[in-house]
Amino acid sequence: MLYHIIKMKKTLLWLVGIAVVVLIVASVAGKKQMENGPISVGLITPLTGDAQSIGEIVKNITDIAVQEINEKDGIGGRSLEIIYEDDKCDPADSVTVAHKLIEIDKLNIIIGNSCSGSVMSILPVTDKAEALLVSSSATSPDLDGKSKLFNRIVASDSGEGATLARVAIEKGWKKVGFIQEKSDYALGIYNAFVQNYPETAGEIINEEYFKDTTDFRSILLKIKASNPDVLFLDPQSQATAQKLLTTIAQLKWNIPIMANNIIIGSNDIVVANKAVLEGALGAELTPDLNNSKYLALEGKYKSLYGKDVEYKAYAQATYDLVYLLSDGIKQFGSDPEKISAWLRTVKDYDGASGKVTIDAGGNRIGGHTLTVVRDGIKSPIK
Amino acid sequence: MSILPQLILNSIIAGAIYAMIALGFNLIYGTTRFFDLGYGALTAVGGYSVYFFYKVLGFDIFLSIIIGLIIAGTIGILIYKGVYSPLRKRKSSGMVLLVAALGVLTAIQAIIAILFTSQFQTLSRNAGSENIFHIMGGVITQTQLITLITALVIMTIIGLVFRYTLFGKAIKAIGDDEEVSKIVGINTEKIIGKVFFIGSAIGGLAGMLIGFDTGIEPTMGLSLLLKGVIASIIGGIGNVYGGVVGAFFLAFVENFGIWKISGEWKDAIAFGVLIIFLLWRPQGILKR
Repeated sequence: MLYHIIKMKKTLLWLVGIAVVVLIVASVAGKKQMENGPISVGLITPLTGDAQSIGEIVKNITDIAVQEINEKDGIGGRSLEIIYEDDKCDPADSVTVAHKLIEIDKLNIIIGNSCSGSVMSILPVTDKAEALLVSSSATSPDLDGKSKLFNRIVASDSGEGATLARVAIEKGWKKVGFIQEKSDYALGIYNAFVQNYPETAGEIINEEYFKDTTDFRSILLKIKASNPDVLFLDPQSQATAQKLLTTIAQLKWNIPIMANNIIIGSNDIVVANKAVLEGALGAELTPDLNNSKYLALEGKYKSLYGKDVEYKAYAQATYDLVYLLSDGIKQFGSDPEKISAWLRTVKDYDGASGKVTIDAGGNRIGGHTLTVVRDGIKSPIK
Repeated sequence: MSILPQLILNSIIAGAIYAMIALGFNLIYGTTRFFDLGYGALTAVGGYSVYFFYKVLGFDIFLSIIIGLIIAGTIGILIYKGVYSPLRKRKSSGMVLLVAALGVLTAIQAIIAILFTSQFQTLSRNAGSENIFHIMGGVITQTQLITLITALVIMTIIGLVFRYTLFGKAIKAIGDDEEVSKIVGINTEKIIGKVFFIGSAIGGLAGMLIGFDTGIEPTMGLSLLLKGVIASIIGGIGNVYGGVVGAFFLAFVENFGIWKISGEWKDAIAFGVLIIFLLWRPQGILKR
């Protein structure tokens, strides 16, 4: 009997001992940023997976901007450090990495440069932790005014959908065949289009598909059978965009095409599919391609990475985002509320994406310009 | 409207792919009587082998395919010898084998993703400039036609092997009763090893053809495998012809089904058909 009591006590002591050790390790491991160490900012972006092409641009441009900032004295003498996390453009994964950045890395400033769906999932997490969330890639109109700690340096898609809808009406296209990926970003564009394309203008036939669809033949055939005047392609990633375009080519379907920024913004996709995309229309964030800051950035990018800048709009906005953020931190320290309030007063900041103005709701004010693809080259139309 | 011929062709094209997957899967299941989920990963293995040799190293296409087949088959055998065989010798339950197979699938997918990144890749060197054939008012590409012919040829060969060769009869015997086969003197281990080699090679070939048609990514195995399993069950599990029949049946139901319902319901239709068959005709269309 005594033996059992002693054994129990021993086990209990072990358990308490282990618990104490774990607590100590946990509190020491998650220590706050030291006063003179680097300033850390989190970045969530799809470094792998179907949307990897966006993550690659985001990471490279961010690296360039950070290096430039650190060469010029950093943020008040302290260097800027980015902690990258890969969310594969998946909302569930993005929540996991957001928790990691907030709870383990103890960050309160996060750049959410991933798909709109991911950013939407992270928002409740960062809000609860009272962390600042900024983005230069999440363009879904549904993110408007969702939080006073969320700001974006890129204009929302409501402009993109509106511009293309207006064109459809002008061209007298009465039947629009819409093929939309089931994601927040794609849905946002669809909704923006629908809002600006009234029932009196015509009919929209919308076919949705999940992101791991590989066989688009019958879905496209179904749209083809209803004889639309124009086909609107609304994918979430380059991978599905390519599958769609390959299938359209195989079906030998000649139809006017309108496409979202995933297709139009990617030089690789436009060139690889120039036959199918001949005459295709898109609405890009009015890129200021003659901007000297951007031209310098483009040259640097080419010499560092050996290739052209894809998704120029996101690239420019990301570059401006990093600079604006470092300005904010320089003025206010790592204070989410103050930086967010200040960002919303930014007016005509001279950025690589032109003049940056952010409205009181945290959204970038900017327009979309109609773009047309001819022989694999995009050009804006007035 | 002349959409019907194209719809039929689409169903045939999809059916051909499912048939290739079902052929290999059925072969393995018919012999060993266990759901080899790891088989799904072999499609990715085949696809990526060709990607490596044909696109990255620039080898000749036929050489790349043959190397890919050998690699897929070899990995299939190694998995059997290394994972499944020891477990079977220990008389592990079906549950344990299933979990092990799932582990194999996950591990192989992860290794491929590490080696080749999880980017979506196409195998053809010049995408979009394929030969296209017009049949009955619809279009089918060269790759899709090759997939269809390959599926039918392999089905015929396996059928003939089963009927006319000793090897085929031995496989059938093992499938019927492994214990008795051993007693009768059949070297079951060796034959099952060969079955895994052939079945995995077929799976790898399916992956290659899909790679040429649409493209490959490390996680392509699971969804393909599920369709192949559904096709096998619907058509008659363990029956070589059954898998093919089930594959085309599934493809037709899917493609005609989304005609009326939205395209996002495709997978739901596939599993719905499976459930109906399991409830009303669990032995499948063709009996074993």
